[in-house]
Parts: sequence; C-alpha cells; structure tokens
Amino acid sequence: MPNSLTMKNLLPDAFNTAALLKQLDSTEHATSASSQTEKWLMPPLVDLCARLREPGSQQHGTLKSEGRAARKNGFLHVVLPPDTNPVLENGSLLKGLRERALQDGGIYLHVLGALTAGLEGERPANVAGLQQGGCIAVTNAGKPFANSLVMLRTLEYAATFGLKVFFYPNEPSLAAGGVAHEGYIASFHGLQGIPWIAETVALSKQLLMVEETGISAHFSQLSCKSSVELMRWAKSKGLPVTCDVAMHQLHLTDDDIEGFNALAYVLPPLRSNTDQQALRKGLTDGTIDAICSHHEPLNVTAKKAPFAETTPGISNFDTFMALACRLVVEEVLTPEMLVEKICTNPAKIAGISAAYEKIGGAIIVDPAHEWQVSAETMYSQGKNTPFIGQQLNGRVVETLFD
Amino acid sequence: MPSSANSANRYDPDSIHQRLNTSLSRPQLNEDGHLRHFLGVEGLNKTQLQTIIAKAESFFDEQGQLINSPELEGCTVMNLFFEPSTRTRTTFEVAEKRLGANVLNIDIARSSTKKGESLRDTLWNLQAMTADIFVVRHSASGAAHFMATEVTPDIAIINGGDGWHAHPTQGMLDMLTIHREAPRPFEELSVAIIGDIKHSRVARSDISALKTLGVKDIRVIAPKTLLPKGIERYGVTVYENLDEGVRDCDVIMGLRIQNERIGSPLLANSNEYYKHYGITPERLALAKPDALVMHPGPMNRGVEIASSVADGPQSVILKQVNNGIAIRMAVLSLAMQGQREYQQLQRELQLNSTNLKQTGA
Repeated sequence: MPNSLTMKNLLPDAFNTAALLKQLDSTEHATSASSQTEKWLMPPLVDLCARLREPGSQQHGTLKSEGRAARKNGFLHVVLPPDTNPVLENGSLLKGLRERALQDGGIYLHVLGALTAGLEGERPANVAGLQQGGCIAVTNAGKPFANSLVMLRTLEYAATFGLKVFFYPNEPSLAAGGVAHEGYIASFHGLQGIPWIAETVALSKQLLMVEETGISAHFSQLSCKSSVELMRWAKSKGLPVTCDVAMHQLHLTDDDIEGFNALAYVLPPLRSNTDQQALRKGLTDGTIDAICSHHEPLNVTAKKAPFAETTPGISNFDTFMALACRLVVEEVLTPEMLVEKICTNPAKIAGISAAYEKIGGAIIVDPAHEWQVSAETMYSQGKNTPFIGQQLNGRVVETLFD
Repeated sequence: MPSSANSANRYDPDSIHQRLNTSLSRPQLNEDGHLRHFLGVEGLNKTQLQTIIAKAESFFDEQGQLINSPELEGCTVMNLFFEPSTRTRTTFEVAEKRLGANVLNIDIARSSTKKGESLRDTLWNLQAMTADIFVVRHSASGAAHFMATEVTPDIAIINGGDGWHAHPTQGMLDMLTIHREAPRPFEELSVAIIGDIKHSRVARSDISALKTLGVKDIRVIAPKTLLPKGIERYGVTVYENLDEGVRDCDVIMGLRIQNERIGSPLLANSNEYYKHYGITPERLALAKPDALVMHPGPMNRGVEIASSVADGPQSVILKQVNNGIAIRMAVLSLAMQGQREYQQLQRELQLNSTNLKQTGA
C-alpha cells in the first residue's frame, strides 16, 4: 500500500495497472530504497535502434550481454538494424534470432530487414520473405544506394507489401572521410568535418521519395536543426513520416570531442549547441516523435588509436534513463511526454503496440538516484561512453518483467 | 565535460578557444609548466614560446653558425615517420646528432604496421628497446596526443606533424625566423598566410604561435574551398583576394599546394591557381619593401610561388631550414629535461609513499 503512494503512475491505460501494482506491493522494493523523492512507474522502454553486435561482432557484445544490459536498464523491446554480419536479409533466420534474444538476453527483438540484397544498394532483397519471417520494417541501414532509380524502385517494391522503411539520412559523398561535425571544433583539431548538408540533402531526397511512392517512413537519429525543419514541413504536408533522435544528441555537442576524446566519436557526429537546442525544441513540440538509444557497444581496443582511426559509437543503454530524467529536470519534457517518446511512440512506430501492451510489464525509475558511471556500474559489455566517471541522477531501480 | 553541457558561456567563442588551447596543451607539460612532450604550440603561453626561441638561439655561435651541444648524450631518439617526409626527418636527424643522441630512423610505413600490428603494440615494443624520445609524424590528427596520453607517457613525444592538426616545430622555426629576420617586433607585424589553410597543419601552428607572440594582424588568403569552417574564430582576417591581402604586410608565408588538390573539386588547375594566388614579384611589390617571404617547403615553383620570388633577396626560405635545426635541437633538449624532471618527481612521490607505508608498519 504505501509503496504505490510514493509512486507516480505513468502507465498507459492499456496496461494492466492493477495487476502490476499488486505485484509491486508484494515485493520489498520501495521500503529499502533510501531516496525520499517520488519514483515513476513506467511501461517498459522500446528502443528504435540498438546494435547488440550479434551476429558478427561478438568481440564487442552479444545477444546475451547486451540483452541483459537492455533489460536491466528498462528496455524490454529493441529494434535491430540489419547491418550485421551476415546481413539480415533472410526471413527464415529471423525467428531463431528473436528466440535467442529472448532466451539468452530476456528481451523482445524486433528486426529491420534489408531493403536491398546484401545492403549493396543494387536490387531489392527478398522483402516479402523477410516480412513473412516477421521483420517489422525494412531499411538499407547506413548503406548507400547505387543511384536514385534503385532507391525509387526498391521503395516502390517494399511499398507493394505494405512495409515501412527506416532511413538514417546521410549522403555518403558529402560525409566521406569525416569524423566530426564540420565546424570550429573539428577545424581546430584538424579533423575532417561532416557538414549539415550530408544529412539534410539525403533527408530531402528521401522525403521526396516518400511523397512519390507513398511508403510510410521513419527517420532515425536526426542530428541537425535543418532536419527538424524539414520534418516539420513533411508532417505539415501530411506525409506518413515519423522521426527520432539519439539520446546523446540531446546532451552532448561537438565540444565533447575536445582534446581528441575518441569516446565522443559517433556517427552521425555530435553537432553544435544550436542543433541541440533545435532537437530539444522539436522534441517538445512533437516534430520529433521518439528518442532512441543508438547503443553501440565496443571493446576497449576499438577506442585506443588516434581519433579518426578509432571505431565510432557510444555504449548508451546504461546512461539512457539518467539522460531521460535530465530532460524532465531541464523541462524539455514532462514525465508523461517522456513516456510517449521512449515507450509508446516507439512501439507505434515499430508497429508492435498490440504485442507491447499484451506483453506488458513495468519499470520503476528513481529520477533522483545518484550513481557514478563506471565499468563496474555499467551492465553493457561496452564501456565506451564519454560519461564515464561522471555522477548522474536517475536510473531504473526495478523491472517488473515476466 | 558533458555534465556542464548547457551552461550559457560554455559556447562563447573566446571561452571555447581558451578551453581548447588548455585541454590540448595540458598533457605536454610537467608539474612546473615545463615541456615534457612537444605536441603543439596551442596553449603554450608567450614565455614558454620565448623560452623555446631563446634556447634555439643559444645553438648559434657569434658568427651565426650552428654549434654542437651534447645535451642528449646517452639518450636514444627514435624517428617514427608513419608518413613520408624528407626535410623534417633530415633536420630532426641533424638536430639529434648535434645534441649527441643515439639516433634510430624507423621506417614505419614499410614495417610492422603493414603487417597489421597496432600502433600501441609498435610503440610498446620500441619503448622496450630503451627509447627516450620518439619523434613522430603521422597522418591522423591527434596521433602525437594519443601516444603521449595513452601509450607511452614516459617517453618524450615530439610531434613532427599530425594530420591537418599541428606541425609545431615548423611553427616555431617560422617564429624563430621572423624573430631573427624581421625588422620589427612581433607586436608590430602584419603577417599574411596564403594557400591551403584547410588541410595545413603548418598554418594552424603558425596562426597559434603568431597570436601568442602578439601579432595583431594575421591574414589568411585562400579560395573558399581551402578555408576551414570556423576560420574567423581563429582571430584572423580572411581574404579571398590576394592583392588586398598582401597589401602593406611585413611577412608573406606561402603554403604548399599538394598535387592531389589540383584538378580535384577544390581547384580548377595550377595555372588558374598561380594567376590568382601565386606569390609573384608584382604581388610582393604590394607588401612593405622589406617584407619577408617564407615557405615551409617543398615548394611548387610556378604554382604557389614564382621562382624569382623564392630565390629573391626578400626570401628567407633557406634560413627557415637552417633555423629548423636549431628549433628541433631546442625542443628535443627541453622536452627531455622536462621528462627527466617529471620522472624524478614520480620517483620521489613513490619513495615517499613507500616510506610512509614503512613508517606506518
């Protein structure tokens, strides 16, 4: 009884709140916690983009290590892009992958199938087969198309089957060789820049393709102010589009690469303060529908080289909730809006709302929980985060999953 | 640090500049503020730069000839050139020998890294072969910082050029040359830097050193394609027109146009470049009559500079080469000294903590 009173209930109506509260009261959770502040009872998190490193890159993480890290940090549903090794282009393999993720990692995996064969951008993959295998959408991940005609035709082909497409807008010829946001910080360090237009030129073209083909599209990991403006335009035109931003883009800027800090090397790159403010505004006004983790765990040696020769990526599962809480503290989002951005909207975008509600579960977040980011306190196998060593507030303190 | 990400003045241009200078410079100094590596000129203060210049000048005798000074006797210096270089490597080698060091040239481009050995493994192996100083040239910006902070902090790292980031010994030899040859002190000079600023580590080091030494009027002259983003924040004036840029200036510094830039989307062809950005006698005439002409070499005659200017009476290009030996002697000697001080302090601290433990027991 007293437990549920110190808790802000943020569960959507569709969730079986009564049963969860009952389960909650039968545990000892809140009485043992020292924090006196209000905790949040939230539905499980849904992540629209995380790389679990399996299959193909197990030196950085596995379904087991990253699945467990996801679960401990409140993510019960994770969307996986197909740029693994081998590429996820075979419908019959998806079932096994999902089963292993659930069995070893305890998470529900939702797979994006390859839009083009081998992600090579030449011809469509067997998208109908992928659909039968249970992929939730298709994408060419970060890989380029051979030309605009291939892009148009493969999108038409996917639209035939009613599939949604995920885009990670990036024009390769404009971004080639770049490792940081093109601006003063990159110039000062002598690092090759990636200009805004690498993202906005690609996004503009993709939006026009969406308009032409009528395919539903989700744009992931937007990083620029102009991208938010383009999305605003597309939504005002009524195009069937949604978008997300990676959590770290809302808290870090290109400033954080200062002194050749390879832990802050990520693609798309950390942008300027102006971009960050625009992304936050887009989140508040609803232009940006969701926040993803863009979790990319890496082993230690991947970051031990001169900046441009390191592997891009940030291990984000462990810091995700603390940074989400910071958005509430800084009044970018209310707790209710936060639940939309990291739970219910991602579920809608992934087209899994029914399963999401049926599977149910809940998490308890203590927004005041203070902890230090360290190799020991992180659940992910990848310790590659620029937040390492810092004190953060907010963490998932309990998960109520079956 | 990310935790302070949204405080207001964090993004003020001056504070960014100052912070970047400090964070890039901190790893190269010991507790007393002496160099123990030489990674870059950014972040070093005027006194520190003047110390390097004074030390370099001490290697010239009264006739202006370079002397030998066996300050590195018994030390092993390894020249690690991950990127080809003739001039820089040779002058480093001459400098090292004049200081009495044991010199090893390791042709990395052709050895272990080609076999897939990581940079860290290569360096640790060389360290085990009792190196005291690494002189490093690498194509990746930040390579020297990475070595000094994360791989071999107990070896004095001398940056012989890292990517587009810094070429601090070139920067300092340019300062020594201006100091010795210019008729006026730094504070009263107008300096024009012409050419490929965007891809130039020399330009970055020169701009940084000139600013610290008090030059108020620094001009950079280049087509838009060869200017880095945010150049205006360096505290320089940008000119796209060469005639306007060199007018009444005291020092003209040319930069090498690399062959691969010509005919790339950056530049049309060498004739057009020479026509608009070449340092010709006519353009030189627009500068002050006693203006110095400098170039870090190797030169493309007829592309960025006219032969008659390069070989003319105002050219100090060969003096730069000679000064380069003195500057390299200076930073090798200073960094080795600073590294010794640092290690002495570390040993004392360790000894103290051992004594404390024993006393406690």
